[in-house]
Amino acid sequence: MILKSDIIAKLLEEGAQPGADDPLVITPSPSDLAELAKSGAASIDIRLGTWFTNLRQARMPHLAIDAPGAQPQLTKTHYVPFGSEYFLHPGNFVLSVTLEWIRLPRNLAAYVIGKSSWGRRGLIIATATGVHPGFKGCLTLELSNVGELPIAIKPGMNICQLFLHRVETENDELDKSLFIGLRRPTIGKLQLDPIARKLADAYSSKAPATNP
Amino acid sequence: MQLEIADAARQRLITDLIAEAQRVFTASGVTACADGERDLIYERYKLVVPREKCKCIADILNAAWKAYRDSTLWQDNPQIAEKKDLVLKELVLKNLELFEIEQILKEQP
Repeated sequence: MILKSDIIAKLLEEGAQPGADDPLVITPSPSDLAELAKSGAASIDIRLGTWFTNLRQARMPHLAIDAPGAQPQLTKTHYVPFGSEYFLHPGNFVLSVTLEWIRLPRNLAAYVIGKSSWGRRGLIIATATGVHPGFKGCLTLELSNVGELPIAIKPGMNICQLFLHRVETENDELDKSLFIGLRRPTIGKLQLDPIARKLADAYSSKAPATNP
Repeated sequence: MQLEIADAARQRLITDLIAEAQRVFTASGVTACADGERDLIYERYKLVVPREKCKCIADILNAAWKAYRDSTLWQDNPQIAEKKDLVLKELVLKNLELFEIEQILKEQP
């Protein structure tokens, strides 16, 4: 079940109270919760943060799974202060982060969805959009410009929206994401899971040394 | 002998110096840190969230030290506890950014 803005506002208000046990927190919180409650939306707007991470295309010929030690060379992170702009050129891709620090309780999950006003101008916000119960931190956003003009984006502006869902569960296990508790974008590691590793190992011994 | 004189002089002046420092501090309008505020921030850190509407940076830093020295912090969440220093650093820096944003918005309503 998707939560409507009045329920989101109520949960945020409850979550701000001292003694809250497992609160929903989105901070900086909307300046006017009463206005949010009356908006009628089924989501809450989220702002763009001040950190951007580029892939350094010239450093590597391709992205490889299980490339030990390659991660530090792969990216470069920039701080863009409020009032400044980041130009995203057509065909370019950058990681950014939400301004808001988000904490989801055990019974809520979320989806990050772009805003149509940006989508119509060619800015795609996120492709890995699920946020699991128990998440804490700033969300990494994957921004790409599929339009034909460079787009100037400003930290602090509304960039996407968060749809919150109730979660049914019978245990207390929390999200084991590696991206918890961070305030800057992170690219993470690519690793083969055990089954894919066994399949790869089994066939790599039979494969020809070079591609035909 | 000289040290004894210095000690005696310091002993006589110390109360007045503290009172004067307090007067200058109060007159400057700087918000004083308070244990109660520090504990409210620390309670939010236990939930792995920054606190809104902090009174001063000193409270944030004092809460950060309290959290850093608390060996039981986040023990119910091993995934966060195992990278406690990193997460705490990120949390405190986010809290400072949040404090700055609130100050900017307060000055420009």
